[in-house]
Amino acid sequence: MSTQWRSIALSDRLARHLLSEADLAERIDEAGLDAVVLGLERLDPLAPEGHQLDPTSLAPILARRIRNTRLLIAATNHREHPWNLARAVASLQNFVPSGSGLVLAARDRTVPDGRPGARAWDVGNLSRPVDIGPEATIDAGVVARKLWDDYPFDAVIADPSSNTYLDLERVRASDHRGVYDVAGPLPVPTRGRPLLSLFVPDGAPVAVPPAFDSVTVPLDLAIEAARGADAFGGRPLIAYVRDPDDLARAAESVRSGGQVLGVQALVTDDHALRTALKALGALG
Amino acid sequence: MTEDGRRLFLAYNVRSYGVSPRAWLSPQLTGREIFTADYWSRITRLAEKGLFDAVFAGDSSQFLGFNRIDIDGVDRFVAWASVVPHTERIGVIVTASTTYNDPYRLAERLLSLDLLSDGRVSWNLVTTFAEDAAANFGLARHPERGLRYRRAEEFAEVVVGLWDSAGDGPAVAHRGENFTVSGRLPLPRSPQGRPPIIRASSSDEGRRLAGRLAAAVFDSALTVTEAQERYRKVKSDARDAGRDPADLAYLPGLRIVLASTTAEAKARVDELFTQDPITRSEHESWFGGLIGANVADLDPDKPIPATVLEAATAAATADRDHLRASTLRVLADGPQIPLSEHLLRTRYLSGGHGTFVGAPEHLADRMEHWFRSYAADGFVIAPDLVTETLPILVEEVVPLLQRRGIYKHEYAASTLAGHFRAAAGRLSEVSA
Repeated sequence: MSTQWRSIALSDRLARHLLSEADLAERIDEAGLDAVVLGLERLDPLAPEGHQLDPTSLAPILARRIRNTRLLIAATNHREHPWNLARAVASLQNFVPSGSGLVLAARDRTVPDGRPGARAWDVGNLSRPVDIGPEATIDAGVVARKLWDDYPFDAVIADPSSNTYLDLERVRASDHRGVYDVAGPLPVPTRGRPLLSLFVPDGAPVAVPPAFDSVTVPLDLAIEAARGADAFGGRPLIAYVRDPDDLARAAESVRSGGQVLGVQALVTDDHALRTALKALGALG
Repeated sequence: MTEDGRRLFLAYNVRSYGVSPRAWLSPQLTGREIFTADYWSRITRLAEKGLFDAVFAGDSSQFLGFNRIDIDGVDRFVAWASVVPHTERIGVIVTASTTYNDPYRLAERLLSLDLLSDGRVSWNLVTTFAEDAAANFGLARHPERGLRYRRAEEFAEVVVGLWDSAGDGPAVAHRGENFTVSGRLPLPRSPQGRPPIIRASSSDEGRRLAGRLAAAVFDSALTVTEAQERYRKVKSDARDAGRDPADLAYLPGLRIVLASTTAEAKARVDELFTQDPITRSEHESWFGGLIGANVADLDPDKPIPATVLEAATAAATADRDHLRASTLRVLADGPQIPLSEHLLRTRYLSGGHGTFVGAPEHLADRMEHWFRSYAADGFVIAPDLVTETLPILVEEVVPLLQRRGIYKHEYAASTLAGHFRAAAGRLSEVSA
């Protein structure tokens, strides 16, 4: 990760707008951002409500227009089992020209009332339920990283001379035992290293393992956390702002040379997008 | 158009590079393009040129790379979403299991892709039968068949309820054996009303569900007689659910080895078995499993003992494994031929689907015969080689079907639900 990580999170409405506005998408793609995040509104309890398209379907379609910037998806283990999540991201990593990754959180605020939120989805009543909380979310991230690492893309050798398609020695079962028990491997290889960021909307401190590349936290909480020693296991922090006008303050925290190494701005309309791209351009 | 207004519904099965374990060796491939959006788009664009109603791919919840066939394992939503911007009319059939998914999440994923494609998505509803998948989801044991099917039925009810809740529909308030769900999907309603559901298999457990909710049944049938029997059963399931039988299509799978001449197609099968010892031993192992005996223990020059076939049929019936039972029936009812000849004839039957090896004219004959005999409303075509076969289908087979009056000359609808209705002779689109 670069020392000045610059990314935007597109609201669902804006993402859909980009499907028909090639120029706007091109402008984003030419801004030199490190990543564009899809679906983040579902992780942020303070983001505006509205329609929420599935980012795993949105990303391959937007990838036609955004080819030079990594497209990350936001998701929760509240809603999806880590094996399914890891598989979707490994697939995106292959299909999106500049790669993909996962911004992972515990709770999906679009989960309807009937599911009280005390349990993460596992396999309904087929398995033991998983308590929602940082431990399960971090374990879901660790599972994903293991599954990605255990079936690397270069295991696909496709060598006609030896009549060998896969080097099965390089495809390993992860046999993960934790909050989740996941055997693996995935059915799809992973090209390179998908990015993995833990999203902590309330800034609650947790020990974050190296499976995660970063921790995304709201700006004020990021500044506060960075004052302490090795917050979030010393992982780099991404300061998340809901209002692009706060990007200047976020940039200061990055320039101060501490643990905050990047920024992420939620953009919900054309105006916010212009503001964000201008501020992020100045940061780069 | 036929007298009753029907015309063939065709879906192309993109099972990685094809059902041959040597498909990846095609000179047209580098072997890695299956992991690119370009591969899936290229195939789908060509299928659209041939006016195929849909493209299809099965799915699994475990690594299958050992079989050298199911090698892509790409998340089906990612694969099919990537073709959406490059196509306009062709539908995409997304296979997703009710065993290892959550109904709210799956309803959301299916409706999202449906909206993004302007109504071109269908859900191929399957339960996961492969036992290996359980360990990926923390289960010590794979759930038994009865439990899986009860879960599937409830799962489908929840998904349909959630689709109907989208827009300003009524909120779901579901409390059942497997799921407790209430609320609405935060999405607009589908342009299709609901994405059509395809029920994989005509097994007894899934009949009620298909009769009530499905637009099609995708099935395995080896003979025209068997298919006619299933066709009638599926149509009666729709009738029993108070629906018009024309609204529930019967689509058997059809495995094809297609070449310009029959000799060329047959040579391709022979080559697979002579040049690929693994294929031969895998086939013998599959055949041994089918008849419940070790092939090496039997005399290759004599017919399979009747006692062996009877015992295997009894076991398949007891297990309610209709695929195995019907394959065994084909063996038992056929001529008394040596075991070695059985092994040759069944080389492409391991998937349980009807098999065709030959030239375009004969494939058109076969499809027309099944279609006009009410053994099929259409087919899900699974080729041995995906990239080589599709141009022959589009350029040679489709014009033959058109000349015979059983295939369209242009798309009559813009949604997949519309394609189903057009194939059934009902041209009006479904309004959302």
